Amino acid sequence: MLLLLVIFAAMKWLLFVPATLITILLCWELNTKQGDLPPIGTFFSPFTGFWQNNETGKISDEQLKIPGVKDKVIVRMDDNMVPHIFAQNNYDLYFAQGYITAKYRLWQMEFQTAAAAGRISEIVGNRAIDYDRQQRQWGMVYGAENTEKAMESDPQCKQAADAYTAGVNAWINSLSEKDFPIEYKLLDYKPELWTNLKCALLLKYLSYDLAGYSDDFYLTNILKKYGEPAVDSLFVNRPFVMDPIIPQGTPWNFTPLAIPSPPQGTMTNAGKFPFDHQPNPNNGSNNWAVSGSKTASGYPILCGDPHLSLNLPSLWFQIQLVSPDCNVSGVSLPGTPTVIIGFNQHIAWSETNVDADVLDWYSVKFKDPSCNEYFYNNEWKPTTKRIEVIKVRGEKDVLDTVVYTHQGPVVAMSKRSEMRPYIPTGCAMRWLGHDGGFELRALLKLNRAGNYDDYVNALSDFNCPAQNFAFADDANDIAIWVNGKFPLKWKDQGKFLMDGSNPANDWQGWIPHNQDPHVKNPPRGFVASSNQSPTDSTYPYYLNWRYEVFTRGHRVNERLANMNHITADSMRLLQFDVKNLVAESVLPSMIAHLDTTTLNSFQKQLIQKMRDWNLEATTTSIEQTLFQEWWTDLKYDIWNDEFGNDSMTFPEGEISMRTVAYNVNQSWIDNKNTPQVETLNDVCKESFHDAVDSLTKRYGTDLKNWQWAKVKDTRITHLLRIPAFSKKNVNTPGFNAIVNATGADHGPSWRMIVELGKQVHAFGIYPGGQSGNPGSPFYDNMIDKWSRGEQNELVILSSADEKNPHIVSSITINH
Amino acid sequence: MLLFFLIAVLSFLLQFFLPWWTLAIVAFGCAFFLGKKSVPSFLSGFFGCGIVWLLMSLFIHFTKGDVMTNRIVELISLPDSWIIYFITFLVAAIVGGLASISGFYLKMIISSKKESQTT
Repeated sequence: MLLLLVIFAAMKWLLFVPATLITILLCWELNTKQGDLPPIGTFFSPFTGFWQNNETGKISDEQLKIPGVKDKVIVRMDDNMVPHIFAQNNYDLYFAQGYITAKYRLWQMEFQTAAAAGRISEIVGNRAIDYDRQQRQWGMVYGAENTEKAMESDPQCKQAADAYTAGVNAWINSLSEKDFPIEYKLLDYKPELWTNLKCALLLKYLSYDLAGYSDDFYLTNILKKYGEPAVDSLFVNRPFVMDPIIPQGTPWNFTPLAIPSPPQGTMTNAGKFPFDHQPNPNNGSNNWAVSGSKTASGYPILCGDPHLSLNLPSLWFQIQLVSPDCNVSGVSLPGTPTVIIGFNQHIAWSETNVDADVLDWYSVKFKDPSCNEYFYNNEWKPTTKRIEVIKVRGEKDVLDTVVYTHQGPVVAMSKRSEMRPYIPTGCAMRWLGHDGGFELRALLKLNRAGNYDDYVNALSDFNCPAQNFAFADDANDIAIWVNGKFPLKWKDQGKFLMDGSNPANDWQGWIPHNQDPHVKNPPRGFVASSNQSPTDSTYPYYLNWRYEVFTRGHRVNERLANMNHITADSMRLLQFDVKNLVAESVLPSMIAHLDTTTLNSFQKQLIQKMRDWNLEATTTSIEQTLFQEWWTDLKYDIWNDEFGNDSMTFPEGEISMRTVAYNVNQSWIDNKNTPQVETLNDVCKESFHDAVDSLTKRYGTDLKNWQWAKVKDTRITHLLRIPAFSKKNVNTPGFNAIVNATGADHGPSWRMIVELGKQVHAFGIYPGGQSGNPGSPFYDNMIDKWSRGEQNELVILSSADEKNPHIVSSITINH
Repeated sequence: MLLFFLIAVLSFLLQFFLPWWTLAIVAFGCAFFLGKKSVPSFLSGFFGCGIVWLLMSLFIHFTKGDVMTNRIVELISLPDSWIIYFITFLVAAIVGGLASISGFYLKMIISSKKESQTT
C-alpha cells in the first residue's frame, strides 16, 4: 500500500517538474533575443510589442505638464503633421523643438548619432566592430568634442543646445517600453539619454557626408604611373561648358592674400595594398533665387533642392519655430536645433554643397613601431594617442588606439580599409571637420536674419561643410555665397598625398571670409548653383580641382535666363526638368561614330529611336535607358584599360564628354590590352552592342520593359535596410547630372519654393513623411506626390491663435 | 469556466503594468488554487491567455489600424495577415496552457501529500 502511494507521488513529481521546467524555459526563451530575432514574447505581446506601434495618424489636442519649460508653449499641428511651435522665449523654443522632434524621430536621431560615433556594436554586436573602429579612426568623436566645446563657449549656442537636449530627454523620460519606436523592439534595446555631444555628432555626420571624401590616394597613383601630362590633361577642372556659380566676369573687389608657394617634391609614396571597390560620391544639389524683376509678383522667389541619399525615416523634419525674435519655417535635421533650409517673413535661403578640398593626407614617418614619435621639421615630435573603447553587445569591450600627429588622426595605420579603400595607409588626415566650428551659431543667426547684411554676418560663422548659400529677401536683394572656411592653398595643394614631415606642406592660413566667392544682385537677375565650378579661372584662390559636371547648373542658368513673369509653378516645373545635357553633348557623336550598316533590324530600330529622342529622361523613356547603359559602357571601354585597377579612378565625366564629343585623347581610347589600335568608331560600336545585349538579357526584347523608371527602380530604403519598412518601385523620372537628379537611391531630398513678399507663400515636399514610425500613415505619405513632382503649400502661422483650416490640433505645454 | 475567466481577467489587468510573462504566473497560480482536472486546467490557461492576446490585438486593429501589423506580416513573410493574429494567440496560449497545467500538477502533489498524511 505504502509502496503504491510512493510510486503515485513520484509520478506526480514526474509530471510537475518537467511541465514547470518547460514553462520557465519557454518564458525565458521568448523573453530573450535569439540571433537576429527580437524576443518573441515581448515582440508579439499586444500590450508591449509591435502591435502598440500601429497608429491611425489622428492627432488630438493635448495638455502636457513638462518640468523644464519656463513658460507656456503652444504647438499647433497641421494636417501634414508639421508642428508649429510658439514659445515665449528661445529656451522654450528649442526645448519644444527637441521634445517634438524626439516624439516623431527618436530612433533615427539616436541611430544616426550612434553611427557617427562608431557605437553600432553596442546595438547589434560584433558584426559592426569594423565599422565602429573606422568611425573612431576617422576621429568623428574627436571632431564632435571640439564642436561641442565651441558650441558651449557661446552663450546662445549653449542655451539652444541645452534646451534641445533637455527637451529630447523630457520625451525619453516619458516613455515606457510599449511606447518605444519599433526599431528598439526589433533590435531589443532602449533609448539612451540625449547629450549636447550628440547634437555636435549630427553636424559632424553632415560634414562627413558632404566633405568627407578624397581621391588624393588615387591621384597619387595615377601621377606615379602616367606622369604629370596625363594628370594635367585628364584630371583637371575643365568643364565641358564653363558656366560657374559666380557669373563669369564678376569682378573680385578685394586684394587677395599672398598664396604660399609649394615646396619641392610634395609627392610621397602611396600604399601598395589591393582593395575592392570605388566609392560613388554623388551628393549634388540645386538652388537658385530669381530677382523680383523676373517674377510675376515683383518679389524674389527662392528655390532649394538638396540631393542626398534617400532614406526612411527621412533626413529632414519640417517645422515652424516662433519666439519673440524668430519666426522661421522649413526643414530641420532631427537631432539639431534650428531650421537648416527655410525662410522667415523677410528672407529665404537654401544650401548646396561646395565640394571644396578640406581633407588632405600627410604621410607620417614614425621613429619606431611604438608610434610615440614622428618626424616633423627635422626633429622627432611626440604623437598623441586616443584610446577608443568600443562596447560590444554581449561581448568584451574592444580597445583601439588611434595615433594623432598635429595634422590629425592616422586613419588607417597599416591595414587597408575595405569599406573606405580611398584612405591611404600610414597617413595623417587633416580635415576641417575636426575643427570646432560655430555652425550652430550661424544657423541661429540665419533663422533670425532680416536682410542681406544679417545673412552675410550669419554665414561668417559657418565653416564646414562649405555650402553655396542662395539668398533672397523682401527688399528685393538676391545673392549667393560660396561659403565656408577655406584653407589658403597653392594650386593643387592636397590633390596628391603630401610629405607630412615638411611644415611647408601644412595649411598655411585661411581665405578671409569676405573674399569667399559671392555675388549680390547680378545683372542677369538670378543666382543659382548646382555644385558646379564656383568661379571662372580669374578667382585668385584654389578651392579644389574637381566639381560636379556642368550639366545641371548650365540647364538651370539657360532656363532661368529665358524666363520672365516667373511663378512658383514655373519654378516647380524647372525643379522637375529632365532634359539630359550629357546626352545632348555626346549622343550625336556616339551615333555618328557608330557604323549602322552592320546593325540588325532591332538595333536599327533602337538607333532610330535615339535619333528622334527629345533628350528627356521621362519615366517611360526607352532612349534614356539605352543611353545610360551605352554611355556607361563607352566610358568603361575608353578608360578601363588604363585606370580600371582598384588603386585608381576614372577621369571625370566632363573629360569623357570632351573625348567623345570632339574625338580627342585618341591614345587613351585605344585599348592597350589588344594588339590593334582602337578608334572612337570601334569603342562606340563595341559599347553599343554590349549595352543592347546586356539590356536584352536583363529585360527581353519587349521595349515596354526597358522603360526608364522601371530600369532605374528608385527606392527609399529604411536606415536598417528592412524591405518591409522601405518604399520600393517609386515611379519617377530624372537621373544624376539632370536637374531632377533622382537616381536609384539618391536625389531631391527636400524641394522647396519660397515666394517672398508682403505675405510669404511657400511650397515644399520631401520623399517621406513627418513620422518616423513605419506604423503611421505619415511615415511615407509624401512619396507619391513627390514622385510626380508636386509640392504641398506650406502652412505658415503668424500667431499661436491664428485660424487656419489646415490646423488639426493643439498641444499646450506647461511647466 | 471560472478558472478560464479568472486567468483571462487577471492576466489582462496585470499586463498593463507588468511584463508579458506575468500571464504565466497568473495561469500557474489560478490553476493551483482552482484547477480540478488536468485537461480543463490546461485548456483554461491555453484559451484564457490566448484569447486575451487575440482580443487585445483585435482591439488595436479596430482602434489604431494595421499599418504596422501589415509591415510585420511582410517582414516575417507570412502568406496572409490573419496568421499574425493566430501566432499572437498561440504564443500566449502555449505559455498559458503550460503554466496552468504546471500549477495544477503542483496542486496534485500537495493534495496527495495531505491525503497520505491523513491516511
